[in-house]
Amino acid sequence: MLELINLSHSNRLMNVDYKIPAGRLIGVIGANGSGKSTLLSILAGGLTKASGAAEWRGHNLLRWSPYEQRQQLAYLSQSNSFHEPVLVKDLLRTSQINLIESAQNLAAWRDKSVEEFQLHRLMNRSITELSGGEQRRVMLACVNAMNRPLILADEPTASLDLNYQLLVMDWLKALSVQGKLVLVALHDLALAAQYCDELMLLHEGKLLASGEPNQVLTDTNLAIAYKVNVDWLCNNNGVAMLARRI
Amino acid sequence: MIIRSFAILACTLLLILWHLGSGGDNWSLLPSNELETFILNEIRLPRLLLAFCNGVALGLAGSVLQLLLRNPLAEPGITGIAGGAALATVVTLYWGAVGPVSWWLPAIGLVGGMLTLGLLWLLSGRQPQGIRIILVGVAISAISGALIAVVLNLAPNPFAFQEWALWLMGSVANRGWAYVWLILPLLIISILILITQRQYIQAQIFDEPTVRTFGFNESWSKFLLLLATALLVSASVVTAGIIGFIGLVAPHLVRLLGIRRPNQLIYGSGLIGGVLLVAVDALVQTINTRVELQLGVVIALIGAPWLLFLLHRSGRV
Repeated sequence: MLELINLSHSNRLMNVDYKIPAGRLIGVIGANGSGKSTLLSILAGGLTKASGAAEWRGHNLLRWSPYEQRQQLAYLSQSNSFHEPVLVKDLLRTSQINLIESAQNLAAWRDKSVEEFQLHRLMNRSITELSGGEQRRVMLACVNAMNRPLILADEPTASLDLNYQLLVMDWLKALSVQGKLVLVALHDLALAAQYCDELMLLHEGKLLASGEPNQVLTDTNLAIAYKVNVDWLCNNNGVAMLARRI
Repeated sequence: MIIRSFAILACTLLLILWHLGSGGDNWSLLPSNELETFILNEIRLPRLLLAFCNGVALGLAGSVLQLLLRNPLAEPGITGIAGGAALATVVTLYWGAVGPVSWWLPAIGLVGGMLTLGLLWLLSGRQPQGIRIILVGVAISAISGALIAVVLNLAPNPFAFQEWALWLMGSVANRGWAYVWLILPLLIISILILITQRQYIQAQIFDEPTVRTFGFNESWSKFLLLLATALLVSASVVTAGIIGFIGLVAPHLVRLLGIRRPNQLIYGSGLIGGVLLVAVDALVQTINTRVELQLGVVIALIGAPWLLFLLHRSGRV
């Protein structure tokens, strides 16, 4: 259970209160500059001047040292930016740095990741040679190999083709079903509606609405947050949306 | 692998012999009288070691900066630390506070380098990002470069001007053992710092936001790495002047050899840098010119085309 209490950061995020039980996939949505990345950065320990609290397992996540935070959460960054031509297997091993776990556990998690993300063919290739989709797959495998209970993903589907977007969301969903708490910032409202158990809609740094997708993605809320009118198209296979500027 | 190791070892030995034997009119290694023994022990041997230590220092500093700043074109000069150390030294020479052979001179150079590091750190903000460190460093080195030029123009006489300008271009000639004992401890301290930070160095293969969640004390680790590079660069500047391009080229040569892991890359760059500088110094002594060529000049002549090649290959030209 993650409980955000009066979480604030200067004027970028203001008084966010929310309770999230474990085992759920939570989408953080909102227009550009609404505070999505700020919220994730605060929780990931990237912004130090935040006030308020994020209660997690009886402790305030914000007051923990980076090393203690590391034991709790895994972070999936927005972009694949690799500058050194390191091998995929080295990347996978390095992603488990600073974790307090037995070497056997770590090795087992790595093997499981390689299996789940079908990295066998890529292990001895350098990351900079891979395509954007393959690099994302490696990053997902790294997050998976960390095996932390709290996962923060900042726009993980950005710049991916349709197939990989669905793959990433499927995988995040699978992790939440395993009992992890997954917080994911999304731009694509159709993906958010289709996959997330709950949504947090941010508007100008404040929590405008929260709860199940059909309670959050109302015409009024979307008109305020995105300044659009939306028609939804739904069937058993998924969700699509048509948006018009107001 | 074994064959390759032996080949490298043999080449290195040949290089050492070449370097130790150069410097006079004729190539001579085995001393036949007292004078030649003296020359070998007191001039050629320290020169060899000083060249090697300088190359190691610059190779290490260059590769650490390339990893930390995530920029393949980063080199020790980019932080402004070399400029700061050189500026402190030149200003001291200008005021004539200490003579050109005083022990205070390298000490002041070191202080200059450290002060520049402090300035760089202050101006880079609380949680410094690579690109900000580069921008601040470029500004600092531009300022120190301009100030050095001003001091040179204010030189009391043309001889002083020439002497300082030559010193700035870098040379390990006629330095003696004292300079080896100056750079060696600083080199060892820096390597010890790098060893304590090996996990953080290894983590640099990920992007900055991701590394920030890896449980390191980010500011402290970054500061220690910059401190190590500042020590290495200052030590090099005060013992041999400004030697450019080695720090840029050495890491790329190591990458071309197929070494990719960050820690191996760093120590590989140190070794390659050392060997390269010994080779260039031997070349400088072998080429017969009226006044011995300065190291910085020769390395720039080899290094600048290399840089253009790299730029061309990365498609930025």
